[in-house]
Amino acid sequence: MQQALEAALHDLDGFYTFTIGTRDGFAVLRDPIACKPAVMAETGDYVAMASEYRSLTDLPGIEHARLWEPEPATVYSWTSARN
Amino acid sequence: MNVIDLRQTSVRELNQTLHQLDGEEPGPRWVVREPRGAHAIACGLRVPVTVEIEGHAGYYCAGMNQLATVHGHGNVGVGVAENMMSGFVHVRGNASQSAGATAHGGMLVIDGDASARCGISMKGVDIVVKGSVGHMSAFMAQAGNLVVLGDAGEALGDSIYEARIFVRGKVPDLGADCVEKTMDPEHYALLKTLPDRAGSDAQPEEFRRYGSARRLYRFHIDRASDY
Repeated sequence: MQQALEAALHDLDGFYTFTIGTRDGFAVLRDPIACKPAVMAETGDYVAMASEYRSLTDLPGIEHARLWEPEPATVYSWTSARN
Repeated sequence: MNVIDLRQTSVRELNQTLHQLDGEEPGPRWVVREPRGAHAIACGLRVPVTVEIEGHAGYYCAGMNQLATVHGHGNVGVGVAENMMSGFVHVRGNASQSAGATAHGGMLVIDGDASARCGISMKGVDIVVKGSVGHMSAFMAQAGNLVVLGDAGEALGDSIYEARIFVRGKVPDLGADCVEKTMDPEHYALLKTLPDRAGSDAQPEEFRRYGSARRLYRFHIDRASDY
């Protein structure tokens, strides 16, 4: 997935911020301009992504989550610990 | 102290209550509980009232502010203090994109980081970011001061007009028509006061200044064919 998304940075044209879920993984990518909003929340139990914090407020333990914004043109990917 | 809980009261009701204050006296503080990322909290205030937001706020927090003091005790979303005219906005956490966009006056302090396009098209505001700023900060910035205690992102000051940028940390690259400039006595004087007002002990000697090379926006008849 990491490789595919690095290739996507070259192949895709236009503004985008998206997330991809697979059976055992999860990734986030923004274009180099990064106009489209994105916020990440991380706790010991999960990683969540939304376009704004408001959408994350009902997640358990969100008050203590680490909140951050993904950088432009940077591939972020996670693999489930269960696999 | 007046307490408004946004689980019980809508943002519209909160803002209307604050808009109806006469501002003759400073009055009690207003405390906003459970903001839960709501948009447009404490927007359009026109009197010298103090508002404390206890949590993370959403987009355009304290937008269009005049005279009021707004403390955000958490993160804020896109466009905090956008188009602020005067007053003081203090974010204890991080700010999302376009912090202080188009703001004409007053002071915006961000204790954490600000993401992309901090100070975009700023028109006179003083912005102090104690952490770092994202890419294209001070894009098309026209007037005012952007002081960054941490690092800048890529393309700092792209297409900048007459705003001044001061950065203490690393600057990976500069945007179109933005150049490093000399630190003159007036800039040292400015940096004696701005970080101090923001509650930082950063010293003027630690900063470098960036601004417009004035090749992009100033019309020169000799370069008419370039435009």
